[in-house]
Amino acid sequence: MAGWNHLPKDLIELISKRLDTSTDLLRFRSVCNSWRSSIPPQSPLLSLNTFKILPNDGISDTSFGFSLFKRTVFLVGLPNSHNQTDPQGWLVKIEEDVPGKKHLFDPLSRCRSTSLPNNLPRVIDLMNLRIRELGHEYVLHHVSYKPNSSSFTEAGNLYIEKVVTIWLNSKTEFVLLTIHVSGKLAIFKSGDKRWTIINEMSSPFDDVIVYKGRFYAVDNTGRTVVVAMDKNLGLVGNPVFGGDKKYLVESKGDLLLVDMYLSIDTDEGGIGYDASQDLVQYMSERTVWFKVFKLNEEGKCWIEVKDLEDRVLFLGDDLTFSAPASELCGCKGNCIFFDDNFFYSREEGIDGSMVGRDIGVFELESGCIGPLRNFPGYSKMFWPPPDWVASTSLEVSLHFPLVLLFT
Amino acid sequence: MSSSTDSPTLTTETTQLSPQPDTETAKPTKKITLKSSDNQIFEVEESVAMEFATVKSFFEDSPSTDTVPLPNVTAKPLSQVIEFCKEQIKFKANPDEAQKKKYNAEFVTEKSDKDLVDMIPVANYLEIKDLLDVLNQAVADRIENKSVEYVRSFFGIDNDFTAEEEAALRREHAWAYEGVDED
Repeated sequence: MAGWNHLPKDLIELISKRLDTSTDLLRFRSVCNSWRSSIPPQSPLLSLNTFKILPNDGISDTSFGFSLFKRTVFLVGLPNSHNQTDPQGWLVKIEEDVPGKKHLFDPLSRCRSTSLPNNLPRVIDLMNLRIRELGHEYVLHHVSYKPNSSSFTEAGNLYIEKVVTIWLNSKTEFVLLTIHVSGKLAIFKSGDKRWTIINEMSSPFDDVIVYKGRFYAVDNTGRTVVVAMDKNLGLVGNPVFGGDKKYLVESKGDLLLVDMYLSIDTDEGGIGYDASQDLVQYMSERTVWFKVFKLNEEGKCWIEVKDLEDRVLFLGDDLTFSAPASELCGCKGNCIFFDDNFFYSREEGIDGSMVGRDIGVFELESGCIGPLRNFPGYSKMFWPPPDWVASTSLEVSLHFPLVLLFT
Repeated sequence: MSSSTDSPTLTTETTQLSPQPDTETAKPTKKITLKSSDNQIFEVEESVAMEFATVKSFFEDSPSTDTVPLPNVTAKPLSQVIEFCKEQIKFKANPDEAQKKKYNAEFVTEKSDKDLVDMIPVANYLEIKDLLDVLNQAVADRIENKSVEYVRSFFGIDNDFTAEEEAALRREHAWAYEGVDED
């Protein structure tokens, strides 16, 4: 049979269609000349991650409309050929405004990464690194009539719920699902004049997710529904009650429900804050426990899972995702990382490392819970970036003058 | 139904394939001979050979032939493809989606990277759509998250980009990011 460089174009294209992520597709196109010419580059709409302004009718009257931004969480690692003893997975969230110009984000929160270490180059070569796309999040930014008016910032903060997106066949049309301030679901299809609020609600919704190509939503009792494109809700999981905030997470193809338990008791000495200095912090709820459930589709019920084995769950503000511990730095699995408002202190370590950021850790086996700074091994996967990030990028800066990349 | 264009041979075949479990063993099954490019001979039952759209149309064009030469196919991938199609025939007779899914998954799991890569062009050439789907998904799963160099060695492909093209590629793969806004 003829070599793989010379296979029929349509065969190469068929395989490329099985690749799930744009990173994998980009790599596939970079294998050789004939493959590159076999597969069209990704449509500009998808690689240009800013979408045109969408109407806000139906959910908010404070601003002109929204624009939608896409961010992707990547797990970056050295190729296996490097035989490193410790997996060096580094988690990072990237937002792309204009092609080629990225912003680094804290993987779990809405915060831009600040205090970049001096040794971190402004260009990172990814061609020969392992990259896993762990998920995409979409964020609505308000657009005001008068961008400079004082109300702009205010409007920008008003609408902060998570948004999930399904792309329709054409890849130019999409449907958005979010949670309205009333706790009801709000849905928007590209081309619509306004958002539609789905009135059916037995208890306010807590979280939304795209799972196997469909929208799912969970309310604060754990009652879970599938949201059809025609806006009908179908029950898939009965309530579990229990904790205070429910998250939906996909892990290895399963849909999981994570139930977060909060407590307002403030007499713990371990956190080390001075209540008189920070009233907001004093009043904050504290995350004390988690329970994890797996969906039993036939029984329409959630079954508690005591052991996640080597999986690690991440609960962010705009995205939940999971990863295998074997690819994460210093992590043995069976734990949950969450963005927590209680572990508040934003103290910075040496070199601008943000060990004390508001990421919390819960270990299922021991029941240990605490801020990331109490688990020094775990912080390596977040910040600062591992040394090899700097060393691989050196190669690229030799190939390209930086000035090219920033234009 | 007034204008059926089915050829007489096809009609006969349909009646033969109608479910008659009792007569299945008694019925003499017609064998078809396939010859690989490295001159190996494979005798397969007609029903299996008819899974290969290419072989099927070969027979429709020249029904009197007894050996089908397959000049593009070597023996090893051909034998694996035949193994797969034999099983698919069983699933056709006794549909069991769960078992079929399990078999298909095991079929690719136990194959080496090279086996998969070698079978794809064969499945494509013989036009066995089900197998092609299974194989394409399996290779996509195996190259997921891997570096470009890994993908090249997986398929046994040489890097034929010039230095300039390679430089342009690297730019595509680079994250040029901005730190904190200066303003």
